[in-house]
Amino acid sequence: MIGRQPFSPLRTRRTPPVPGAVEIARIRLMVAGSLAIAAFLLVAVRLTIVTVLPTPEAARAGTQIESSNFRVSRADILDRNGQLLATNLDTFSLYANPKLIQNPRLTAQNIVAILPELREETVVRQLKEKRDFVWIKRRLTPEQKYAINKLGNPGLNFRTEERRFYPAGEVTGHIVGFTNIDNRGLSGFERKFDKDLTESDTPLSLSIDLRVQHLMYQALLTSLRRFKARAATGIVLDANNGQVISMVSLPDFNPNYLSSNNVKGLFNLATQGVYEMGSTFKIFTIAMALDSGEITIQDGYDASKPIRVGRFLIRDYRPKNRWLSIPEILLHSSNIGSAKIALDIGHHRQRDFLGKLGLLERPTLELDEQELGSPIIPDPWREVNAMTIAYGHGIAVSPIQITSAVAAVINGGIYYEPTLLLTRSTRRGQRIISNKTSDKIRRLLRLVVSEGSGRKADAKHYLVGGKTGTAEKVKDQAYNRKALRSSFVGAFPMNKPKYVVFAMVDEPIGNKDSRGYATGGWVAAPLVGKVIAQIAPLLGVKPINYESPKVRNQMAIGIRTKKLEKKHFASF
Amino acid sequence: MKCSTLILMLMAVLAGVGLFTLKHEVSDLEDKLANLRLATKTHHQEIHVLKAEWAYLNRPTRLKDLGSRLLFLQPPEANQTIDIKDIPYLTPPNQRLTIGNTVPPAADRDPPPKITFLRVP
Repeated sequence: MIGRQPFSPLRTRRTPPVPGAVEIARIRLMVAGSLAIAAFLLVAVRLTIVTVLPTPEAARAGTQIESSNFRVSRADILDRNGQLLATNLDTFSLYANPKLIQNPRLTAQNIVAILPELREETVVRQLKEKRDFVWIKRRLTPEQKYAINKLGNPGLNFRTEERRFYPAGEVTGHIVGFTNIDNRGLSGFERKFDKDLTESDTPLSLSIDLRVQHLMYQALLTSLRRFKARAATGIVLDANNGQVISMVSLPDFNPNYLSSNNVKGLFNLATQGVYEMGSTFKIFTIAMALDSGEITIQDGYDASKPIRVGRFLIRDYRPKNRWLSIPEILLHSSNIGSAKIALDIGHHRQRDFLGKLGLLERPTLELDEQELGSPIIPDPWREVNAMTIAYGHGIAVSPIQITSAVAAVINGGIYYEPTLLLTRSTRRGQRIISNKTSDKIRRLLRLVVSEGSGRKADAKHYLVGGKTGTAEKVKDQAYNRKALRSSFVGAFPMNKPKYVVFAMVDEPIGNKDSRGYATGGWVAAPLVGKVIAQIAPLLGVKPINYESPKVRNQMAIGIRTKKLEKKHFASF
Repeated sequence: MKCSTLILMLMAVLAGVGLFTLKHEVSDLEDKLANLRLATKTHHQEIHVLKAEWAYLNRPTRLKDLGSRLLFLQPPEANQTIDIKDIPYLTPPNQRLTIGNTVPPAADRDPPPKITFLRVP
């Protein structure tokens, strides 16, 4: 029965509800409802905040400039003026799917017609392989890619690969270096800075000036051909911070087209090679002597007789057979005089001095160790060594070392380690000699160019100073008088040197122009003079009036020709 | 039906339509952005290639060759340059005109100063 059911609706209807029960239900409903509304409101408010009100992130997203979505896998290398020296370019590598090639012989013929460096038989064999991927040729030019596409063969396809490209080619080859097919640096900067170049996108700036580099390259090439020489090298260095402005070595190589049989070209004479420099070392001998304070510019030595030391005979190339003052020892490039100076100073001090000039250790240039030659120094360093080293024999250093060392003795006495990286801030150097000694060396080197063996280096109006060096090459364990290594190291302008220029020509053969001579004064000095005349305007060096009293005064030097008897007071 | 229900329904429909158009607008913009991104990337790539080409065409070896064949220019010599301080003024300092001044009558004027360039050292 219905009526008996304890909770039937009928029953509830019949019995009046307990007062308050409806109220309770309503309150419960209200509470539940308001909770729901509150939750919805919360969502609404949050939605408004997120979508309508500006947030810092949203504001940033709107103004952000999207430019970083293009990345190269290897950073560019630039010269000091921002000229591109190395960059990555997309190239197209041709591969074939032999399964899709209908007629391998005809296809191979067509391919070889476009890529003549491939051999037809090889290509036919490749196209007959039972694979579905085979490289035909990597790194095609856009024209070649277009021609292959024009064949319309569905079995031929391309893959994009990045390739290193060097716009300046062989002119910067030794410095910038090159990479292998997978873009890993193998030499030069590419090798030394491989990690930095691959990790970051920011270009690397070299201290090299491409224009100067080009002029040095051309001048060396002309000399190399004119004197039928084996090799040549040249360096331009900023005298006041050690930055290398130019560094060329011939023979060379083109990093864009490497060939495995050009081993000679890869060798960098400027840093890898170490050579007996000859008379240019006399600069250091005299700088050391004058800075010691024990020998003054008024002093001199008897150079009338050759010196015999054991089995060595130290002679002068053009003997004066008389007493020579310090300026004359440099001017006439007296080996006897230099050797006697070194004896007076002593071999220990000589060793220390050359060490401070960075001539006894591998230089700290930004190149791989394999590309930096270690100097060859005598061990033990005895008196006899001191005597030959005084005029640049019995010690072999690299051109970059001697250039940096000369910069130190003429720039006021501060040695800067050479660098290939562009630095805008001032670099720290080390004082080697006093400013006063440096000033004397400047006058002496100017004298060598205005009066002595370096005359041909005088680029008019740029007040060049420097020293020639002619070293006999060692052949069959003996010095060979016919095989020379002619060099010149100079600086300009000599009243306030800005740049040091070094050039060396290996085994030049004298010709009519040089009156048969192959010495530093006839081969390297005119080369340096020519380079300076061309680069000085580019580097912003102002012409100098040789006749102005100020310049004459800056370059004046007293020369004695006899002991304690002043002969003349030469300006320059 | 109650009036409030109607309003609520209308609001719901409006919100739906609004959301729909907004979503479309956003996806349109996203398409546009993607296209722009692609375009900038392509342009960057092209600029990169052009830079390489520019550097290649501007290599000193080529410029020298072109210059010697097509221009009548020679490398500058030291005696062709002059210090800016050595360039003489056209008029002596006391006769230089300032703006606002009138030019004195011709009769009162001194003869124009002779222009002499200093001999270059």
